Amino acid sequence: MRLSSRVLARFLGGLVGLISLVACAPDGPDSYSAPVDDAVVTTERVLPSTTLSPPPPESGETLPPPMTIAPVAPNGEVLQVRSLDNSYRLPDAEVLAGTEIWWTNNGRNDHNVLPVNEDEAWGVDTEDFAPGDEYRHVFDTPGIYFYYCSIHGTKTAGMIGSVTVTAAGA
Amino acid sequence: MKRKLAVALAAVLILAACGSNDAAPAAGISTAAAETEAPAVTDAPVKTDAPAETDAPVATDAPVETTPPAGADGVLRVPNEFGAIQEAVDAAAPGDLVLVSPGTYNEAVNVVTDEITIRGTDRAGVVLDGEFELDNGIRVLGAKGVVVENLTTQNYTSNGVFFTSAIGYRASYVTAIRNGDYGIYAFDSINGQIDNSYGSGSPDAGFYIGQCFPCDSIVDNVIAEHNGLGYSGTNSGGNLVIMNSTFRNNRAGIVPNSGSYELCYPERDTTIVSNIVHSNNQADTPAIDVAILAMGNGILAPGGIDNTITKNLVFNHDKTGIGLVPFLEEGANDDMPTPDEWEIGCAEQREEPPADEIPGTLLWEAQYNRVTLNDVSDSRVADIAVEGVGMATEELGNCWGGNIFTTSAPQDLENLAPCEGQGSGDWTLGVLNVLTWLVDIETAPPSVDYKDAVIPDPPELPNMPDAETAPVDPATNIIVDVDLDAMVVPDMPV
Repeated sequence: MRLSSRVLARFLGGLVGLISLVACAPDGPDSYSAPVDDAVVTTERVLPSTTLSPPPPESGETLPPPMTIAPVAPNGEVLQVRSLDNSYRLPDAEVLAGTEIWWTNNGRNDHNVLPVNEDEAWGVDTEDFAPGDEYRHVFDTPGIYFYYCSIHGTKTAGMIGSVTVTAAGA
Repeated sequence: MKRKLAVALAAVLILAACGSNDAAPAAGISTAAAETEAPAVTDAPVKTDAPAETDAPVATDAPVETTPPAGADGVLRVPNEFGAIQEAVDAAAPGDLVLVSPGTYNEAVNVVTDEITIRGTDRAGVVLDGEFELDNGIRVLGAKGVVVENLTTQNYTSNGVFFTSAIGYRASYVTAIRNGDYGIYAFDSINGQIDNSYGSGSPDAGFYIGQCFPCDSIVDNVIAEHNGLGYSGTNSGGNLVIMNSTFRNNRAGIVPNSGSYELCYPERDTTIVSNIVHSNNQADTPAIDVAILAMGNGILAPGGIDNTITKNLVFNHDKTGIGLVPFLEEGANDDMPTPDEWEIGCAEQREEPPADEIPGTLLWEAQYNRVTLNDVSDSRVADIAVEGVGMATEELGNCWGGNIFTTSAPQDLENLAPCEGQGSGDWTLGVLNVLTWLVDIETAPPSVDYKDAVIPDPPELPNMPDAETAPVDPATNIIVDVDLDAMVVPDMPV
């Protein structure tokens, strides 16, 4: 039996309305507008003098000398990183300073987003990042920011990601 | 898609390889463990605590007797030599055995060393307890060939045992109770085996194998009860066999499904054979949303593709015994893969970026599944059933044959779509109408917090034979090669 398109549309509409089979993703980036409150929260964070995260500890590499680059204002750009079960997509984002990263938990499981460098004042804990939850942070200073989900990975393996932030015009 | 399932050796051979003393010897530790395995040695005081030997006068020309470091024999004993399992695991080298004596260990153990074995000397007596604070009992992160056997993991907020990105893994004689996501969870891992284990009281599933293709993995002789789902497998398949196991009194029994909330979609080519699946209508379990929606079904393949469901004994379900239904995924993370993409291996597919334009929802249809030779009874909606939504049901390519059953939806399903020959009949008679399930969910019993759910005490569960003395058998040689012709429908349990 093939359902007519009208019946199908009604059926799908009913499905959407009645159930939440999996994590409900927030609206897509096209419909996103950054709430003023979020920007305020972000700029109120106490940023370290440098936001260049160290590479994973196992790399054995020596950290480059700290950079002291002045933070820039949010530029209105937003990039979504989906937290699936159990990986970040995009795992390695590259953005200009001032861009907001918008993490959404599109998985069926709890996750979190924790900076590898524990001195960095961003990230979201498990209790605030259940399926359907979201977290936003504006990266206003160039650097490489490594992060991970402590449930499904460690600082160096499993569910890990990075945000590479470059200066505008660089 | 018609793909012949590769079959060869009898399941008996698979069983024989599981923890058998005759299994392929492991490098290094196997012989040493076998030669030094007397319980008296295990229980003897640790030599490093006995200063008399090193303090005693010795002849000047005699070699000085030194106490070997703990674990030098390849067996790292907890707590005799190491105070915590994690300490022993961190000290272990590939091929070593971490042998844990009875006790309660409030630890979350991380394993990153290849080919180590963590074994309890007593399955019920060696208890890893997360106290509803710790995430995972034992988490194997990218390490190859790790084995966990003969112990209990309970009260973890996420998983009892968690393998991720592991090539070669095995969990045997593991009891996983009341864990917040899954009992035993194998994710993005291949060449694995879960056997002789028990999972109860998890809101997602007692056992899970997901995001792998081909998985080359097997679930054999397990019991799952009082979970949201007995078995869940999202986007897994490819020489993946679920067999000889019991799934009872969960919200739903065996539920492989597709979804873009994990990579490597769709779910395809799983073989479900010779299982006992019954009474999966349990209303008082912890349950994620999918489990609530799937409640009352024995074997359900939402959006599953090219699966073989054969020779199972399935009975007493409020909805279907064996159902092939669509899965609607809200908040999709990619577009729908085309049939030619189904064959792409997970290693390659996971590197593909998502589509530029992602639809809001994906409707995964159950297609090209084969349901044969099952014994299905006492289903309140239908013993065997199918429905398409985005596609016409008759065009999904599923087939049925040789099943013992009373009711089907649509009616006369084996004549409508036989696995042999041409089908005939009217597909509009007695349709399943999954839309009614969506109404049911409105009044379905809600999830019970996994911390508070009333679950039965586990049945008497066997210990691993010769746990204190058996040589290690790292999971470097898992071969899944099941002869379906040799499998039979299980007898009705007493």
